[in-house]
Amino acid sequence: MNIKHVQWLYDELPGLAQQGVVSAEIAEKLRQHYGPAPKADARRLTITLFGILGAVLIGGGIILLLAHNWEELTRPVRAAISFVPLLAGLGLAGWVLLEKSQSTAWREGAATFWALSIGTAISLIAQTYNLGGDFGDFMLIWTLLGLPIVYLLRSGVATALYWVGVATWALHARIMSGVELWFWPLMSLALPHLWRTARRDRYHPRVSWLIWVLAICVSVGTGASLKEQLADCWMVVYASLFTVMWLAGRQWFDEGAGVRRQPLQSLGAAGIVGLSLVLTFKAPWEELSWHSHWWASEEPLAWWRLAVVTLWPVAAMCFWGAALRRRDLAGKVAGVMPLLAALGFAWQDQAARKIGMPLVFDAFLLAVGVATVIGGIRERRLSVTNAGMLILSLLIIARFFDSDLSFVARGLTFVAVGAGFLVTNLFLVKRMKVAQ
Amino acid sequence: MKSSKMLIGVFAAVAAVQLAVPASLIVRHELTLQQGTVFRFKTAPVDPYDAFRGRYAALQFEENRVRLPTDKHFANGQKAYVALETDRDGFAKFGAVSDVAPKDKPYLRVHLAWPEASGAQVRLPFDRLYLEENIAPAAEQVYWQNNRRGQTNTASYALVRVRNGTGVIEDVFVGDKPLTQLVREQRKK
Repeated sequence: MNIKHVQWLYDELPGLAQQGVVSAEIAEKLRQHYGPAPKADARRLTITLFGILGAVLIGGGIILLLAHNWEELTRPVRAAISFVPLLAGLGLAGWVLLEKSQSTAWREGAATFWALSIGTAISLIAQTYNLGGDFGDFMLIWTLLGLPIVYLLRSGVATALYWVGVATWALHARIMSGVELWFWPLMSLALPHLWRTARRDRYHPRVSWLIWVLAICVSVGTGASLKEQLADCWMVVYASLFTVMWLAGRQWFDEGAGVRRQPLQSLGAAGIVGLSLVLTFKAPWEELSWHSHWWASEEPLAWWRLAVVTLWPVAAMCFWGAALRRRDLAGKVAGVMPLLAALGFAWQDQAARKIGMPLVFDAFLLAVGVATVIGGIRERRLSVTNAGMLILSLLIIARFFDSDLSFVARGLTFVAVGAGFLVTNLFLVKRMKVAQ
Repeated sequence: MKSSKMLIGVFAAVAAVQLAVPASLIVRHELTLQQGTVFRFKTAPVDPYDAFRGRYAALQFEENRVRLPTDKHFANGQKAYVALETDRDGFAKFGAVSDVAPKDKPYLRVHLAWPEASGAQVRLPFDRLYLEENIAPAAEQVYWQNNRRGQTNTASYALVRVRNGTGVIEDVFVGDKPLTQLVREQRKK
């Protein structure tokens, strides 16, 4: 149920009843069906944010005061003091659970303080005993200990901190030859909380910003999973990932208003356009070289990694199929991107590939830009039209400054494309006149 | 009512685990400091711009490579156990490497980096000394003066207690004096 829709209906009902469109009895039945009017979120959000900020500042201040006198204290005293932030976090969380469990501000503030206090306790112990710098172990322990906070206090901030912690650990594991594949099961441990929150209202701000965090962390984790030979697959995997985000957003979160409420569409679109722009240059295609020793990996987990990164292209094709059935033009165009990336990946003739594939992506980005502009005009949405114009502008700027192309090539291409725009414009104007 | 009792029960269990983890860290390292075998790890020359980061001294050690057994394969980043011995100058040196903990001699639990035929680099579990921020700049100066490349007159070393694979730095010495004591003496001058 979208709370904004309910609010809209309640705003409309008095006018509709007055005009006789619905009777007073039906209006009352509708009110009873949807329940009391949802309260404004802005004040509650402010209180929640101030609660979180206050908790963070208090925690930071206490740490600084302790740090000032740290050297004067004996080791056993320092070890004992290391527990104080954690005990304070546990005490606050326990009190909130007993007395203030209905207050979002208190829950989120307590959860933030509790999550940070775990890391503080471990850091203080590390300082006391001069513990070595295995940052990955530190992040993993801190993150896993913080996971129960997500469910005990039903906290979005704790969920976000957990996902950021897992993504950070995965990056470190990737660099230090750890088992970064654990990223995927670890991330999924907090998904039930998101599911439960989104089930009530998928357009609630809390759901939107959690999905922002999740989408960014998954983008990072995907990169961390591309190890050894798989690293060359990055363009196919990321093309698929961003396409999945775009199409999933359009399928499940299409009624969100604005960029902030459409995290999957926003990140997916930015990723598709950004990656396509990169692939319009020769450099990525020149460095591609997966053919030589693809199957020779001795890594025991190589096949698991392959399975994980294959999921994105498979998911992209499934969503694309759904978009085709829905007759979703923007979805149909975007879904082509993973196929184009796969085409370039499979093209063995390096000389031809580095000339052909940039042109392919030029055409793709041109099609995306034009489709977006047309879609915006059809739906009378200026923001969409502007987005389409931005895509086209970026493409033009990229080609204008592309030193791999000669002046003549660039000049002729611009003339041809510009003529194409003018012809299309004339065609559209004629169609509009006929329609009138 | 039943669900809130269950919630409190779960909270108590989580709290117990969260307190147990740092407590176990303290107990393990405190026991190592109280009962561990003493080893002196000679520190290696440093680049003056790399030695100190923030409020701790990043330590490098001369003993940082180990020979690998020919009958076993070690992967990059793999955990291993390195036996510890003492050379004729009384400084620590690495003995045999194994994927199981030795039973009859002191050892450290380490991670191996870049294993190859000639050996591997060892990532020790101790690589820093935390210092108060007021004395950190002076300590950096003293440490650098005694650890420049080519310097041979003053031996710097970390005094480390080792127990059951865990190693804890007790202090860092320059010659016979702890680094922090040297710094305080210099400041008084």
